[in-house]
Amino acid sequence: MITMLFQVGSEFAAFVIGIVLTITVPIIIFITGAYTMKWYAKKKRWGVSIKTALIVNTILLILSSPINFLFTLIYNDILVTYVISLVINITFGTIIVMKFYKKRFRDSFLFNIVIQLILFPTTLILSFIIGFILSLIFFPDITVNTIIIIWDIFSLIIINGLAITLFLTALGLLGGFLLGLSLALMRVYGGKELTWFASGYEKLFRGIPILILIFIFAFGMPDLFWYIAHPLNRIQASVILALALRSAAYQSQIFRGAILSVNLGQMEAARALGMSRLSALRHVILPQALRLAVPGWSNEYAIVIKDTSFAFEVGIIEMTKWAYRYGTNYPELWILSMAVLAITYFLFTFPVTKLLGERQIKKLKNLGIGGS
Amino acid sequence: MQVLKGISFKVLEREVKVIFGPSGSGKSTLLRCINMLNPPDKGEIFLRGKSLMAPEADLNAIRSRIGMVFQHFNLFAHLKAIDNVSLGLRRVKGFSKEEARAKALETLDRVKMTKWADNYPAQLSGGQQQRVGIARALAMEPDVILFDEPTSALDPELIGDVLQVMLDIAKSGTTMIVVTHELGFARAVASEMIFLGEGAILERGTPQHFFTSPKSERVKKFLEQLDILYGGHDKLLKLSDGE
Repeated sequence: MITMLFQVGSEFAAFVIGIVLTITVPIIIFITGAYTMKWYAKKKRWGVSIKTALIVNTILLILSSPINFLFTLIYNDILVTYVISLVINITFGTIIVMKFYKKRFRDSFLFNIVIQLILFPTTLILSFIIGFILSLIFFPDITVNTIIIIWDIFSLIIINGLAITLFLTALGLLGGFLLGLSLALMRVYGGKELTWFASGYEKLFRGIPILILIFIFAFGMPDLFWYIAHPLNRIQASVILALALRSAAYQSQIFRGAILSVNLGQMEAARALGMSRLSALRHVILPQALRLAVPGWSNEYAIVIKDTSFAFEVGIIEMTKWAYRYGTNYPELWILSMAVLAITYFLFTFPVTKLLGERQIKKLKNLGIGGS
Repeated sequence: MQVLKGISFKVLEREVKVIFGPSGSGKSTLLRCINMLNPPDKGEIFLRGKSLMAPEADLNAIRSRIGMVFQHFNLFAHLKAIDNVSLGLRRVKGFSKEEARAKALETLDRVKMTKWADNYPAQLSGGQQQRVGIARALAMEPDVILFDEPTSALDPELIGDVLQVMLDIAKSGTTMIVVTHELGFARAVASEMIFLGEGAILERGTPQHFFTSPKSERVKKFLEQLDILYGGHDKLLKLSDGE
């Protein structure tokens, strides 16, 4: 009872919250909707006037409000109502936009899809925030309690599981980097046999699910890391091996593409200076290829850090395992602990891919590396 | 397919050879054969009396004594101008970091690029890039520098600076083999000009010879075209007189 944000004891307070939500959210949607529509219509060169957008949204508000209200009464579930109102809004919206912007059915349909794609998440977040503020006013103890629980799960995951997750990720990526780079060099510069070997390796390891690899190395080959004393560390090593072998297959592709996209003239210029093939590779080709590989590589980081969650299947206690424990101990908190876990993974992937991906692409463009 | 047929010439020290001819005649291939980027299937190339085709020849050492300037500059995109020049010094000639830097700065000064030493190639204009390319070849103090159409990828207004630098280093006694259609440059410094057509030497001689009395019809036709393209005013005047 203390857990769910909207599942509250007091019928009256819940009713008040419901009323406030059903009044405020449509108003906010109406304003945001009008301005989104104006912005998008301007972008599509359909018209710049806010008046048309306001008219369209007023009609939509008048038409859809009673229907939304009806469904709220029937289902008494905010999410279901939102999905239904999404369909209603797109249907009505298409017809109204057709009429007022004087466009064909297809154009106005696509127009509405875009508008709703922006509005739908906004609506969800807005109603969550308003609901949150209201429950903070009406049931301060329950709300604060929920926040404490969320923080509890989060700190549990971070303090106990983060280190091992990052450890598995780092070593898996490092192993994959060394092997993957060698495979890529084999494919680009090696003879026929080496090329065959490398491409065969890639095909093999890209075709096996990571969980099966982990099972094979962790349970199928118990003597693989015989020199490691502690059995749990042995399993960790097996997981790292599985992650590295699989990651190598993907990283090899990334590096091969990067090496091939370094301009051919760079190698020629280095050779013409008298550098050996190896020296040219080391000082001219690889520095550029590795820079080119960073965006693709950041994606590989995101894949590996998420794949470490499979390690919990062989008894390694990392982030997923801690959230899983919490969820099984308090089944009513299962969805909350999984949500917190998901957000934690997201926090550790998104900034990295953003930083290494988009910013690096910009940097490469400025340097003029790659391409011709 | 045979690209080059029966080509034989000698380049003496401090000489400037200009090779020109229609596209597809094998000029670039000839240069790339000389520094063994495209090793020839047959024939002999000698550098200071030693054959490059000999099995015991150390190609990397030989290439370090043959500079090359490319049509598309081919500067190392990840290195600043000064590092472009010093890379070969450090990794091939074994200079220390400071020595290489000093030498690179000195060479950049010769091509008047000291001001842009810390710029990346992408931040430089084509003409500036090519001057760094020349400095890169020059810094190695090679026996001969090969120029593969150094100005043909440049905007007309940027050609002048590059040609001026080439003139300077030619006058300072650098041995050069230049593939170019800049006949003004050839007239100023070439000790001999070679006209290549379809992979063979069609005609050779001093600039004086080519500009006054070329023998073969093919060469005459080619020079006429170039004259018009490169603003040979006499020729243009004559054409308008005829009309």
